[in-house]
Amino acid sequence: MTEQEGTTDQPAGENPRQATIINAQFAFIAARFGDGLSAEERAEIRSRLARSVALGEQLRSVPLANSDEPEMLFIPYRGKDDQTS
Amino acid sequence: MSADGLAYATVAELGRLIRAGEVTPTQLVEHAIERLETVGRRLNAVVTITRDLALARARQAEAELSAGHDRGPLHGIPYGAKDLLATAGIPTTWGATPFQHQVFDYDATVIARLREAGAILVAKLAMVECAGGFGYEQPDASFTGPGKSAWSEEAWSGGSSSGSGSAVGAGCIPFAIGSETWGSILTPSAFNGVTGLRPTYGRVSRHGAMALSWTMDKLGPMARTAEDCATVLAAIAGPDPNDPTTTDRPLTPVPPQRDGFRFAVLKGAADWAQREVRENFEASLEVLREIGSLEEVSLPDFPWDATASVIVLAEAASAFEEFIISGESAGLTAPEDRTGLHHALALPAVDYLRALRIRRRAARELDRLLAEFDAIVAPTIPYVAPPISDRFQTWFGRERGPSLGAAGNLCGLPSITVPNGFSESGLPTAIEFTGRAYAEDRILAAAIAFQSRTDWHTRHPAW
Repeated sequence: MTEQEGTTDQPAGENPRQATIINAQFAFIAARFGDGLSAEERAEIRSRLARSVALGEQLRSVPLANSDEPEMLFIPYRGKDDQTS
Repeated sequence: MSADGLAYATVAELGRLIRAGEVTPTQLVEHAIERLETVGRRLNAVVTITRDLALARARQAEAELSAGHDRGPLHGIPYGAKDLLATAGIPTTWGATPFQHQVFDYDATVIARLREAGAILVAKLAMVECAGGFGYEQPDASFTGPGKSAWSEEAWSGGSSSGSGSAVGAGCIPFAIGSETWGSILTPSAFNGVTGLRPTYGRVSRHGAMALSWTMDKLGPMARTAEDCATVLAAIAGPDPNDPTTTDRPLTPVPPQRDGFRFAVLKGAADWAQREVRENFEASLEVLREIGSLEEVSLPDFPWDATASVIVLAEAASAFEEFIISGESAGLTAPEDRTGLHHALALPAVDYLRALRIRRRAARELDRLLAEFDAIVAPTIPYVAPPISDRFQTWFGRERGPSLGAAGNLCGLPSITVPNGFSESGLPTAIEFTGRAYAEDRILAAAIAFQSRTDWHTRHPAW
């Protein structure tokens, strides 16, 4: 990764582990959007990535058991009875 | 009744005037359109005025009422809708330049139900682009310009239902429909001095509404009184086969209760608030003490903000993935919005699912707490409307203490905000009542009782 792509930075306040995760996610975003992002936009995206990585760490502070299911709504679809498929 | 009286009359009052023959629906529609064209435009509250359609509906309402066909309390009453609700043949812009010419060929369920109830759509109202889902950081985040508060053109209207709040607050229309994923009904209601109801998730069909977060989006009324909110809710609530998340639990009628309430007070919620907000909240607690008991409580210990944030980010990034990938988001007004959801495309699926798992546990614990009360109360927003030229970090970046917004929206709970005073600069403050899921009747009864003992909701700006 080049410095221009902003993936080797480790801003103050980020530990090396966080920086590695943020940089890896940034590389994913950069790969999806190619050269279409300006330096300012790259900095903004990286900053938001840092915040979302921090959010994920907050979530992992809540202990969950295997039985803790997500609240999901899925309704199996069945079309009209005269449909053949 | 004077023009000023008409502008700030409630739905209930206008209904009485219509049936007494003192005003016609056509006169109300013409009055609303005149104010929307002048005051509404000045506040950047308006996207589209549906003049011809509204006048045709008004004539139809008059004919029906003359023939003895009364559709109920909304018959002949003009209203506005946040411009994320589909309206057949009328542009639905989502507040965003890239969607400025979008036209659907069907009506959102809410629009259809209000039409059946006899209400007359007079305008599609301004909103923060894409309901604020791209992380806007300033008031200037809509192609119609920054929303201005009904109480000061120098202050922000709040968002994302900005036009719904300011158009009602400035007396253009008696009620509007807004949407809330996280704060978008309550905030503009508070900043414009109006009463806003966020119903329980699933109480009102989302069919035809722009999706930001499938599991957190809610639609609800913004009006002058809690009583009017109850009237509008009764018209728009109910199951809808086009939205499988709608509930078939019946809407319980609001009881005529005026005292004997049990209120929880969110501990520490006012500690970090702006001085006038804190003082007005404390004065409101004295009013609540006259109509019920108060007990200070804390929310169960969960990362409420983080959990709600991850759900909104993941669902919004998915809902708008094509828009982002295509590069169309570059056409949004606020520079920070143009790449505002790119990062969320990298959000791990397990983080999203973890947030959903936490929500299930958190909702059960919060319900156990709320089961003891009719409502938990807190200042709606710890500050009055910020200056329109300021970035949010200047105002919202401060320490704010605990709030009900993340928990209430994460768990899909109903909440109502009512005006409770003013700052020294003349901007409104507000208190919110949040209840258990499907307990709109309880929080509405409490808010009606509060408004029967206060007159903040009757004050209005000098438009």
